[in-house]
Amino acid sequence: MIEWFSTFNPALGMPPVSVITTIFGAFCATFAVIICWPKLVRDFGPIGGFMSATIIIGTFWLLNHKLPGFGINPDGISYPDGGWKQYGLIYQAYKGACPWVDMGSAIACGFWVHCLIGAQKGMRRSLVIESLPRIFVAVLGGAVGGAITGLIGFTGAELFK
Amino acid sequence: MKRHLSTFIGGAIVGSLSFGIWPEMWKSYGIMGGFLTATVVIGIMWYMNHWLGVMDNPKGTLWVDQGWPIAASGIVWGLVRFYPNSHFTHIFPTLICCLIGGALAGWAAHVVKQVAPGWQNLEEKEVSK
Repeated sequence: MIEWFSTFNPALGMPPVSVITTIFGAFCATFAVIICWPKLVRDFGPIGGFMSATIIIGTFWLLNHKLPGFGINPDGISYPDGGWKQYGLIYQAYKGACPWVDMGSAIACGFWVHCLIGAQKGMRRSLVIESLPRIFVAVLGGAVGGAITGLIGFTGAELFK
Repeated sequence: MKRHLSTFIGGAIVGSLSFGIWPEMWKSYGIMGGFLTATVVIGIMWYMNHWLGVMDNPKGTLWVDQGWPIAASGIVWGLVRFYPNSHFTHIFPTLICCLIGGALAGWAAHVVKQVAPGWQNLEEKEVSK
């Protein structure tokens, strides 16, 4: 059973145990952000937002995204009996050396769903249609920013050599 | 249109900052670097995008969080950075699990807000302030 849970499953694209940890990690971070962040901002104003960024995002970054080793080590830390260990709850495919899935996706999706569930019954369809272009533009902006940041890998700079 | 341009710019900046700085800080200072980056990057970007409202969120609409551009940025950043061998299709199981977990949490938070004492009688509390 444990062996099946912890070995890579091609049908799922990850070990089955990582499905549990990923969903749980995404759930925890999103729930804490949705419940605490607006209240802290309501109570403390912008200072509450800064506090939330440190104590919520910082803590859940550690829980969800920590990689093995000091610094990013795509090979991970290998077990004595083979294999490697992932320390963050959110599984990163291909030992982290592939596009990064951030917990921002979970938080953004959670906020969107939360507002959708809280909306009045008849309004939901129009609200979804209204929000889609804004999501599209936000995603496009993030994609452009990320692509340009990723380009620094191609500068061929050899500093300190 | 100007509002969409504003959202686009906010998204590009937060995505670029997250993935330009976070890995470097983590590599240099370990876990405390991660906390520091959360404070600096997410803090100031939240202030810009959501407190000052660079990302377009009119009242009474579905909230578009800066998590959307961060998520998109993480994917495209990895795609460009590892370009010939970026293994793009490997991410979808994780991404789907993340979205499921987030949606579950959105639903759960809706339920919890109905019973949690901290979220009851908000109007009364504000009046008493």
